[in-house]
Amino acid sequence: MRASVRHVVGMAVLALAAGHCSGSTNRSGPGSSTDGAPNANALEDSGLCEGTAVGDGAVPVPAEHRPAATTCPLTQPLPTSADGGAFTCDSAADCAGDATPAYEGLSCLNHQCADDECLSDSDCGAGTVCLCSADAGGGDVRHLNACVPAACAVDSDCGPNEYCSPNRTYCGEVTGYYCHGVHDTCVDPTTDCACLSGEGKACIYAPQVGYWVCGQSVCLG
Amino acid sequence: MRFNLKVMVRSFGRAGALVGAVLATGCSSQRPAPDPVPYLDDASFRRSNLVASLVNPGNSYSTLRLAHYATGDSNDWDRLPEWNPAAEPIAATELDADGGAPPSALSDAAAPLMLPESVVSPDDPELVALGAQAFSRYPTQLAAYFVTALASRSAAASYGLWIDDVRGVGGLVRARMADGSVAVALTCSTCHAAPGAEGAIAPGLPNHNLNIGQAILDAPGSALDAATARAMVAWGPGRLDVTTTTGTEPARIPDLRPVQWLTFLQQDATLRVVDPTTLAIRIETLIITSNNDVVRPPRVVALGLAAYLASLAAALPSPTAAAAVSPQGAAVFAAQCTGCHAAPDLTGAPVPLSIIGTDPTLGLSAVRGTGTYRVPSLHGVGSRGPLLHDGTLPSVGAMFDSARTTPSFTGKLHGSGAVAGHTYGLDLPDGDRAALIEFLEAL
Repeated sequence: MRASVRHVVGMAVLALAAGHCSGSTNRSGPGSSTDGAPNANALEDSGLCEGTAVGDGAVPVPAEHRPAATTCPLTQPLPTSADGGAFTCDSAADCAGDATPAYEGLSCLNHQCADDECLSDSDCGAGTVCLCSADAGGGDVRHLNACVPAACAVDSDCGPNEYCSPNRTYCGEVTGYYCHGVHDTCVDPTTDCACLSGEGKACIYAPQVGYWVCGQSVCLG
Repeated sequence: MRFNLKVMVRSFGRAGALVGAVLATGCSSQRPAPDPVPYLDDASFRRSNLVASLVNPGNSYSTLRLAHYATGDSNDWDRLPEWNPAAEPIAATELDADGGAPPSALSDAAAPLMLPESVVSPDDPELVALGAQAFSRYPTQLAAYFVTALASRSAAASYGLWIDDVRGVGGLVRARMADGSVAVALTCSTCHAAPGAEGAIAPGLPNHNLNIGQAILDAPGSALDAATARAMVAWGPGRLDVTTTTGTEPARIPDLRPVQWLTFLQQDATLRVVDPTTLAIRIETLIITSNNDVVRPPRVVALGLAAYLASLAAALPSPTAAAAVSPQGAAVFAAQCTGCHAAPDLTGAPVPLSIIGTDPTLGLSAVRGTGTYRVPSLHGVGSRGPLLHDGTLPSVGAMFDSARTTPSFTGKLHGSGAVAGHTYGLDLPDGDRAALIEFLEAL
């Protein structure tokens, strides 16, 4: 049985027992998310920071979302080959060159070796999108265009009136793009996650439950 | 009406079994028997244990838990969904494939942990068995940054991940997420297991080669600010900061093998051990915060892990055996060391920072600081690896090197120069010092 159904049946049996005797226990806990299955009851069961973010199927517009795919500019000049000419390629393997450190980690973009991993979503594999350097946030170390995990590329990949938004760590670093939808318990961390204590409270996408939720977003990892 | 207890257990799990038992007995009016494992069911018990265990209720480790653990209000972490996803270890042979181990391919063999229907006592063998499974299969924290390390055996080894034909790659697992995706995750064994002296993976032994900081820095799309990046480089192998958002308070990965004997938990003595429940609560809240406070583990998993960790002590050498190796060393230890490292636990009350004299950063931390450091249990110290809370001494021999408190000392890890503090034993006569080292290396 799915966890949610077992929970309901278990509650019914306990209610019956309560008519005879007092006292009962439920060790499985509410909103059990066993086997990674989507937890339809989690919104009602989570209880933490039940903000006014989502209700009646209306998703507030997030501060960041992707109405359309974007093209990123190069962040670094294109490297040249050992002879000083254009460093052409058909794949990233061609850019390994003679294994000198300067050629480590290069990508093949439009048949030229480049430091950036991508210029557009088409340069990234399935399930990833191109995050432009200017949108990466989080600081100024290794600030290149990079392919990041994505459950959506643009807003229209999500449901009607839903939005494709970046998930950021407490440092501001983007970890991926995910849909904001009716199962979320937050959109704006300032108003929706005020109940949390401690540093790092944020509205984050939690793949463990499959929706956006108030949580502690750490800077590291 | 007869109730078939077995049918009810299969159909409705523990709740149904309890109800069935109650109904079958005709609902006696007598008081129910005390719950043998109150941690699992009694929120007030858990709350009381937490409150009693917090050494410094004012640090942020404590205030976070006081605000959310077993509070009974809308902020209670008990309201979080329980999480037990399908997961499987990443096999060593996967690293040999072209491109390495695929990070998002989950086989049909992946499964959630099988949880016992009931636990009859804290010593229930099923608990230890569950804990052993969870130690290497329960995803304690998502770790997308280790995807790079899965490219090959050399890539994995470069980040200090152990590779074992039976246990897999560094304790990493793939786990099914609620949105259908698959994520790479750490387990306890990623940090808290390592090859022992004879090559076999020893659960509880800290992985002093593990370089999580470098893995995070090298992860695709990593965009940390310069200060945080420098802090993480400074962690080095075997150390990490799991407390601050700036990474400036790294601690060595602790040895979990002697946890049975510990009277305080964590390097800065953040928690006093009230009873075995204290460790279970520590594990439970660790998993909650490691998952961004969005899910919680089944409480029986946390209890199982605590029971399993307590069982690791059986594999450690006894002081009696060490005394047979070095009777003189045992005598020196008894005369010089038992003021803090008292038998049988070989530990004692936390020591104020001003007395122990080692680097005070962790002890003064606003996150976990108590103004003291825990006295580690010396059970297992001979095979522990780097010593002190910051892992700056490589061995027992280095601990008693009389030159280590001078600028000319060349043996310091994670830096250079002198390693201050814990000067006990440095002024022993050479013969006694050598004997003490021999004794401790046999523990």
